[in-house]
Amino acid sequence: MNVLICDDSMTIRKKLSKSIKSIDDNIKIFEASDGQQGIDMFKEKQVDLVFLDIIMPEKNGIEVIKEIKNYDSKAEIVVLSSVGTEKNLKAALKNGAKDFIQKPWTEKNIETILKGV
Amino acid sequence: MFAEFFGNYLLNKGIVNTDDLQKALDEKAKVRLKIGTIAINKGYMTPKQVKEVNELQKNKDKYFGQLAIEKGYLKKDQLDNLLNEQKSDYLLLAQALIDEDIMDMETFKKEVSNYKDENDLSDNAFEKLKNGKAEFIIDQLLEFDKDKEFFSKYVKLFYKNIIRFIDVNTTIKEIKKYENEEYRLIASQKIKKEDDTFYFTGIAGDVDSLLKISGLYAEEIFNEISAYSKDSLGEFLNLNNGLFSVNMSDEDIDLALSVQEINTDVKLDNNLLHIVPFKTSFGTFDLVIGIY
Repeated sequence: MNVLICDDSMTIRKKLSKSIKSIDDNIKIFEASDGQQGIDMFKEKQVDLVFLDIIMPEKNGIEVIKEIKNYDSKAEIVVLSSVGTEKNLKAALKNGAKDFIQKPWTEKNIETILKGV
Repeated sequence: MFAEFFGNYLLNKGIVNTDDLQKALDEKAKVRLKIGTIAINKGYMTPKQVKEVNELQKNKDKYFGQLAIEKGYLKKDQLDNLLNEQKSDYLLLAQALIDEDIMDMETFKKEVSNYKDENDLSDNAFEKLKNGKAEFIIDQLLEFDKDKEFFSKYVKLFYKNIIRFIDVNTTIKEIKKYENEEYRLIASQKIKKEDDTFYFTGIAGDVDSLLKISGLYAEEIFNEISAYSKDSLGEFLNLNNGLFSVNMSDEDIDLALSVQEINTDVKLDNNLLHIVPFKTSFGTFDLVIGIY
């Protein structure tokens, strides 16, 4: 499985990679540090699942969901944000995100998402 | 945590000096709490009665409680209460100071009473405070002119996250107004409320303590300020502020977070800010908050 982590925080990318690897070491992980890079990487690689932050430079998470969904309507996107307000949650789901996880995540959260793909 | 407040109070009163207090704080883990000290604290016995029973004990092979009942100073149910009393931190500190002859029992009784009066604490409030209810302590310490409830909720959440992610042995010291302190390193983030009020939040201090925080959060060891260590410190603040904005949105208060900033050698030019000093097992740091 190929997973794309799109988050401007290096700490989050590393911590999430570690969580994913501890669940399944065979998963291939790609990292993008802003919204545009995330979209470009999604188009380049065979991505099965995207973990996406909301507040990011270049393009925010909601714009990224729209563009990726426009390119591939079946894309699986899970929003992983520190600001899980109802407003953000609704915007993410309305635009096609599959799920929404409030930071800090637990390994159980990630495992459930990975199993669902 | 209350042991440190009470200790600081005794320090400010000149009853103990810094060395004595530090020694007693270190010793309190090893101290055996005596029934007499708890009885004075509860108001069941006077220091004079405790001293008398202590003297009697030297000549008779009996327990303190037994002798105090025989003398009519304690009732059976009071003794049971004393035996079941929680060994609160501040009583252990008092016992360490008494054992080391730094403070006598009369002074202990007098200063507990003075502390309650000076801080306008009812007996019930005092019980909560000495039993270490962190949330209650934070409320007692917060002296914001505006948005007290908002800041109180913020500090409580921040404290919980420090305990959860950084260090379980963290305590909060007296909250004070910012007075042009200069910080070697600070991670800050502004929070905007719907009515256009801006709040400043920051984690500030010396490089070693902040590198430790960023390392513990990232689960790495950082020895110097780097892009990664800065990111981790900012992300920890962002995590806390994100959770805070979720909590506030449940109360229909919409908050927007700015991008975190990491700066070195900073003096904040703002007299509306407050400092919440945190003491961890690896050092100290300040939470800086206020209206921006």
